Amino acid sequence: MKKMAVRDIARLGLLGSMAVILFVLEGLVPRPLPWMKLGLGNLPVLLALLEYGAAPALGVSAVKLLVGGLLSGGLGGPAFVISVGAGLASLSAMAGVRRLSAEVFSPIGLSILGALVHQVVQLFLAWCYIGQEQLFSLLPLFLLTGLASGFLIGLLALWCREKLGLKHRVPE
Amino acid sequence: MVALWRLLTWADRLLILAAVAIAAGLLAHQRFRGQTGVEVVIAVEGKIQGIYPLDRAQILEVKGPLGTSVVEIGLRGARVISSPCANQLCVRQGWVQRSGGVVACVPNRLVLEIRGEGGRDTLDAVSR
Repeated sequence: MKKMAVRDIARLGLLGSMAVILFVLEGLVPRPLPWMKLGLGNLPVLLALLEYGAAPALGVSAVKLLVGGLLSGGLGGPAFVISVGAGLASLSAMAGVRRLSAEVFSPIGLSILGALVHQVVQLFLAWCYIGQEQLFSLLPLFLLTGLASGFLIGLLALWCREKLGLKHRVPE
Repeated sequence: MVALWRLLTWADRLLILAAVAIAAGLLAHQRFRGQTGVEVVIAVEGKIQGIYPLDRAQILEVKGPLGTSVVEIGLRGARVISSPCANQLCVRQGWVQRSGGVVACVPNRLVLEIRGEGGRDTLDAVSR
């Protein structure tokens, strides 16, 4: 892995703190159903992935999960484990797909993929805790909300990159 | 709207359509199994604590690893009134009444599931 410029490290730090802020703030907003969130905390992670690659994105995600989790209700409970598991799975899927073929999916598609994986893993982990198969009756709803939020975050990522003057390119 | 669709690659579109198709398929399958809930199955840690008909209003205390959750059953289905969990997601979900509807309290390992008339052929419990 080549050495990163200080400027890039600083930017990743900013992305990390943005992820925490977005994650915590989003958690405070009242919603009809508690798990129905936009996932704004994933926007910095996606931006890091698109611009810097998988490892830096993992760093941003780790900061979001640990610090955000700490501020949101404590590390170690089932909610935390589920969010970490789903977050890591989601990032792995996005990074993996991007690695295989950077041109096939747009940032929007990537974000949708990440969101869908996140939702499925979230349900799966909840099932691991609870053991009731009928939990999966929530799957269609989870898929649709994941689709919508993934699309929106991907769109935001595209918009951010455009505003920042960044072009679509292949990571190392 | 069309402009948004134009932004996507073929793979994106395929992914979206696949996800929508799967979700629609699952929903159709659920709907087909009967709409109205007839009874509620209360399970803790995968083991059934009790099955209660929805036509009798009652309030129950269910003990889980975290503490006691209070469940209300009535014509509107079932809901969790109070629970010892930190995030209170189960309480905030409110009533479930349609067949297949689920309310879960993950920290307390509690699941409420509404079953319709045709519901008995599914797995009752998974014990570990």
